[in-house]
Amino acid sequence: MRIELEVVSVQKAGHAPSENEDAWASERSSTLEGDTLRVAVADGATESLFSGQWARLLAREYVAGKMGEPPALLESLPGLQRRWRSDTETRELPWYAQEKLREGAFATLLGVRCAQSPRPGQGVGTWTALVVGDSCLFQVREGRLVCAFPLEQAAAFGSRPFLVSTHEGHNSRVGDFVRRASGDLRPGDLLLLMTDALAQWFLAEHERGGTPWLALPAWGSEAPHERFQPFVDGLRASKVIRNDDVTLARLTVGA
Amino acid sequence: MAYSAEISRTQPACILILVDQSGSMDEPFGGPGGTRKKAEGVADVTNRLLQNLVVRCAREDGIRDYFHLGVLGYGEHVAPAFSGPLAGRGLVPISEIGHGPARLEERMREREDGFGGLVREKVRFPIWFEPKAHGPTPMCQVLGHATELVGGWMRQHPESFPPIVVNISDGQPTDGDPTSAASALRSVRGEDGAVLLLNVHLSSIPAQPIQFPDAEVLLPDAHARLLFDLSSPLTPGMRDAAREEGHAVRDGARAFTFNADIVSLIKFLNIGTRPANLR
Repeated sequence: MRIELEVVSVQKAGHAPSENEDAWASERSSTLEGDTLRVAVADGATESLFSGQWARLLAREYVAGKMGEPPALLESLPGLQRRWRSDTETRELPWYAQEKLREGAFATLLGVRCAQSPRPGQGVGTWTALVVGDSCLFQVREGRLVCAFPLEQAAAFGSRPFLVSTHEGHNSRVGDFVRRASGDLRPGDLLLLMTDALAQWFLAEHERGGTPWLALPAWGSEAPHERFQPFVDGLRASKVIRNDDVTLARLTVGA
Repeated sequence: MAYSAEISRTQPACILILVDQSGSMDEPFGGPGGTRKKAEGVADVTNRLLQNLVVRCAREDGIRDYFHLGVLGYGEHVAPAFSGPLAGRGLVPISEIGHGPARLEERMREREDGFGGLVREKVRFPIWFEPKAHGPTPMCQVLGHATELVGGWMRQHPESFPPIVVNISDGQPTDGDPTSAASALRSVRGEDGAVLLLNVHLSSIPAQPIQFPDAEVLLPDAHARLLFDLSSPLTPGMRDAAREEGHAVRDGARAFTFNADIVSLIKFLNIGTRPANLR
């Protein structure tokens, strides 16, 4: 199985790149060949402290193969929470940051694992996705959107998603909010992983009868920012997308 | 749609708190059996509101200026009411407020542990505003002052979320009927709508708290009914925030509380994803 991988992430307008609270991880970049491939995106909540760091920990843990199933995710959290706390709580912080740190950090997690079919028939492989929160996976096949997960309508995006927290007390119901989906992969399929603002635009465009996957710029071996940033700027200028951090991972399935 | 402007550092929102500092604030909160003075209740509400807003704007790199915030006192004088390094200042970027409390008190606090229990913890509670109770209640005058202040701000930030003015009082103005002054304040508008006037009534009547009523007939006295009449209707965002806090809010509800806190109402100001599992 061969998959071309392109990933790009841009921060909110008016913010510095270092303030981007989205994260992504994959085992490798560009062309992937092999039996399995894992990619994850995670979106740190703006209203929490060190949430970008929490998002990076979650994405990397998924890609390391330790959180593929909901029970494994729940088992991984205490260790990740300890790492986040050891990174943050030893710092000298002013009163407001100490207060904010007590609330913990929050992030979405969307992980996708592609696996080669043991008996290649019509499909070359399968995908399995796991998500908490409102980062989305879309599958496009032969010019049609065949899967939108976990949200299927633009109107379904709210401003209060349930997220994975660094605080055990806030995670007591995380098991109820983990969703899982799977499907097959055929040559030419596109898998698109997006954080919420871009995903909401994508679904709204599709609901209007558009083909938003064709509107997304391709960058191949070029610097992704140079192609993607003007595209996002254009969406923001025409006010069809919320001003949020935006991350897109595009997987193009080869033969 | 009104009240939908993005709140960001380049397009901040404005919050102005008007605090009754008149002699009547020396009376006990909730009637003669009350153990705390109204002036102390007001100081607590004000300091908690400021703290809540600063913490919401806190990030690892410091405090982001999503808000410009001021406190006007009205009693013997109508004037900015910060203590400490911000004394005399009008509308101040929230980062300066976070860095400039007059002092930090150590307090014990109970917090929900997320599993249905409570944990007690020591916290540093910042104080910007001290209790004060002296002189008359020039509410008309302070509303006029507020109109000038937020009017000037709105002209500089025409696309911003409209200013929110929070008036905390026992509702007994001494300089006439504030109806027209409040109306003038609520008519200051920008591209995203008109100024929102919220009233917090701290009463001497030992009555149950009432939050976001939709009819004045429920209110216990003329002072409460007056402040209800001055209050803006809740915006859809405020209604959602109040309902998320567990209040049964009907259409037509006003941004008014009687003997109750208003911090929950400020949560509707959307400055980015607020997780559902963070209360």
